[in-house]
Amino acid sequence: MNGLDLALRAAAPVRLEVVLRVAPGEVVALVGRSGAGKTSVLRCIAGLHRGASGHVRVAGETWMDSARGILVPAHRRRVGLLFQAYGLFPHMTALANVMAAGASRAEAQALLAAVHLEGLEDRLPGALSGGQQQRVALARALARRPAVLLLDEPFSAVDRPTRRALAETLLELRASLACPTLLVSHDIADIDRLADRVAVIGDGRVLQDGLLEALRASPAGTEVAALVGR
Amino acid sequence: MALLLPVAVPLGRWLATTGWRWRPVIEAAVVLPLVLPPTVMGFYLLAAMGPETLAGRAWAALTGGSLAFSFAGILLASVLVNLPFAVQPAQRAFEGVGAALREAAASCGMSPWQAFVRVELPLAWPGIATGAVLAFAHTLGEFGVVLMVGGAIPGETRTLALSIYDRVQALDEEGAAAMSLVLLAVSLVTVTLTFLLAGRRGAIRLGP
Repeated sequence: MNGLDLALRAAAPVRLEVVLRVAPGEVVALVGRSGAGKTSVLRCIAGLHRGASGHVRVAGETWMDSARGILVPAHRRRVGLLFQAYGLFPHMTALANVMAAGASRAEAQALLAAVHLEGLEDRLPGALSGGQQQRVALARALARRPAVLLLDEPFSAVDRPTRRALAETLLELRASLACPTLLVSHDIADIDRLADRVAVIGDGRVLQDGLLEALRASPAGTEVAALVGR
Repeated sequence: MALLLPVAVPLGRWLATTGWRWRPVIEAAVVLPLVLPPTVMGFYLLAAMGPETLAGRAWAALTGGSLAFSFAGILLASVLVNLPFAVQPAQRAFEGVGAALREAAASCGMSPWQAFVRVELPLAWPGIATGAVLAFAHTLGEFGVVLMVGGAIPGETRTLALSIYDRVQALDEEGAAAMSLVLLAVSLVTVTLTFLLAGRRGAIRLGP
């Protein structure tokens, strides 16, 4: 298995019992109510939450395996992480932020161009709009050459037009991504455009997993129907 | 100052991020010199530095001298007494950096040490500098503890603040006035510097 292979169990702070596989290049959307455990799944993969047992295997590397006592620290996991709240380093320029994830100057410039930020390389995050900051954060996440890309409600802090433009950029970049991607989102239109598959999470478990159309046609319950309905 | 910062910065960072349940006890211990009368602090320090104690014997074995009533002794006392002035602003500054940026640094591949040097320290620097300047200004004016531990030996443990008291006792108003003026000027400059630094907060820019 060259993609993401995940089995997580936890009791606190959120109950989790999630088994999930994502192929290289595949985008899987995690859908669920607030507090269902979507963000906890991403944090476990990134190594930011250490309370869970089970295993996390990415691109042939084992990042976590509680049975074998393996727990790779967060900074040694090649994760591209995009938070809801940008998480940019406020004292570094856009270019320096992207280079902080390990890119050379030329690579960082190319990445900023790919997210349509030419000419803004030397701005500090405070001098950029919310949408532009999220673009820098996306470029930085890609600069890490991630083995897995984790997008946690990447568009929820920006207004509608900005959101559409950002989703457009992500769609452009999708084809060049060889890694598995997990996308947490509440917007079914974004999910429809960006995701290959949808995994509905409820109470820490995967309630149903499949194509959006299939989930809509035959939802496994009222919870799934409510979450993926038009 | 060179002694105080290496203690205060890691301590402030640790207090800002630890989830240890006894953290309030350590915080209280650090702040204790602010609330205790200087004579009480001085008494305990003097007792701890005596030739029969562990610290006193270790110092004597190392240098052959006495820790109490020496320059090294008042230096050590100064560090302890001024710790709250440096630790508190450093702790607040590290708390201001926030868990989100530490996690962002980790997901960028920075080890905890790299994150500390490249992200936390530059962002917390104004707070650390504020603490350092405040502690420095307060060291100049330190009176009670230094008198208790140092004993005001001329050329050894007599600080400026002690000399002023000495001059007034000797009815040398001119000398006292001159020394007071020096302390006033240095204090004013350092505190002004603190406010200038605090005003520039966030203006620091680091190139790649």
